[in-house]
Amino acid sequence: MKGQFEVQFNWVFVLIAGAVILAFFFSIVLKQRAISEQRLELTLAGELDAITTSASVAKGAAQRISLPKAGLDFTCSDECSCTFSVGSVTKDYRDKLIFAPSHIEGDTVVFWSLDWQIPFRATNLLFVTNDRIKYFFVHDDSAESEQLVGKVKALLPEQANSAFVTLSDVDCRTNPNCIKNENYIRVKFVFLNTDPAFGDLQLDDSFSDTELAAVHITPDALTFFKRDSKTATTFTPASAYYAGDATLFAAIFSADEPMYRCNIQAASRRLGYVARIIQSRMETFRADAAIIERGCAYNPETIARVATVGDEQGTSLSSGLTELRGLSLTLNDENEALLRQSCPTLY
Amino acid sequence: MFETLAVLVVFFFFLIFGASFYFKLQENALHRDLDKNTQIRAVQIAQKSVHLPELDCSFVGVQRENCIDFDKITALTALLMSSDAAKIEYFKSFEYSTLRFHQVYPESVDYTIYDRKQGDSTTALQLPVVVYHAIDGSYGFGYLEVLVYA
Repeated sequence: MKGQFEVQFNWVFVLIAGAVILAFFFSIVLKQRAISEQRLELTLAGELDAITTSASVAKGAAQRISLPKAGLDFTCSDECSCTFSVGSVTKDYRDKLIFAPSHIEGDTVVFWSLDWQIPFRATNLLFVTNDRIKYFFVHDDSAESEQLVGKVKALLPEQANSAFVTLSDVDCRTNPNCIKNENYIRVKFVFLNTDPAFGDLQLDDSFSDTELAAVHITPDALTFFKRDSKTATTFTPASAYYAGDATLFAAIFSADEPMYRCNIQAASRRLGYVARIIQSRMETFRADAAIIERGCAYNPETIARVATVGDEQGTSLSSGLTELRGLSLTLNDENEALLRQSCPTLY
Repeated sequence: MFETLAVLVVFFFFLIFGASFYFKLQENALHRDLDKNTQIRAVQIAQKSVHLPELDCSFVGVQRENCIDFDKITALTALLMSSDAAKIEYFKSFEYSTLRFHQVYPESVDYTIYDRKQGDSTTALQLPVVVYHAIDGSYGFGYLEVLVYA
């Protein structure tokens, strides 16, 4: 009887011990899997950080890079906390100025950098796009619209999917052969000095389930249009300003108005510092006896004003940003005059 | 009964030994990753420094590669010494690091452009650069030294 009880107890003991051991190993495997996935995401986020740093220092270069399966997310809050994420790993933009869609997925991603010249290089802006995003540039016959078309065509890299269309190509009410979405996940309409007229405009049904955004660019200002929901036909506008070609492209590639505003504010702060450095360098020239003897004339007012505008716009983006266009032309003239006199130039 | 317990004891002994060995390996891998990340950060900061518009040599908007403007170095150093806002702004670029400039020719000149230390462990990188003196249009030779703290 005692022997029989012992054999039964052994079996129960072995079963319990086996179950505990199995559960232990199973939990370790699950934990390791979670750790490995997180580690991979961390590595990818770190590598992406390095790639974006290299891409943003390479001026005017467009490069195609493999994209992680989870895709990339870019976001800027209203308070200007800008981050990018790979899966569950989120990294701060820090000093990078990235203009991208809110989510990007596919096999590859294109990074394109352009320097913001006012007229000296203040900083580099980095634009992100890929094969699954399309930009429709809507233009008309006006001189302003054609001028903007010329600018976009001259600078936009071929890696960005783009098409130049008129408003009648977009509006399906009047045109049965209106443009359709060819399976792009995201579509951006860029109205180049052409009134978007969203109240009347009727897009093709193929756009109904697409991530859609729009921006209206005039020679003076920008208006971002955010679709109220993924299938809505109504859009919420938000105004902004630009100065220079790089900021024009920043508006085109930005997911929304906060992304544009936050990055341009950061770029303006940098512009303020670069302008102060140029101003300080100019003061050194003005104090140098040999340069005075050569008759080199430096005007500290324009560069000081650029620095002030940079500081102001770095705090809050306003129509004051457009003042940089005029200041840029003045500085350019001053620099050319110095060059003609064989004097040390400002930039 | 005794045999079963003995088997379990031996099993758990091997398990604990195996686990401690595995965790040691993981710890080493983590240290390697940390070192690698610090080195990548050092390269990134060095890469950024030589391309900064605040330091680069530009001629009517055209930048010269691996060239640093001497007057911009003095201006940026003075700016970072005098302005707390600038220190905060440039922390985004240089983080916990020290950025030093050494001119070796024609005369020896040293500047510590940026300095924000943290901890003792450092990774150092030196980048040879051409130094442009705009006042007399001459060139010197020097290097940028980047020390990144882990």
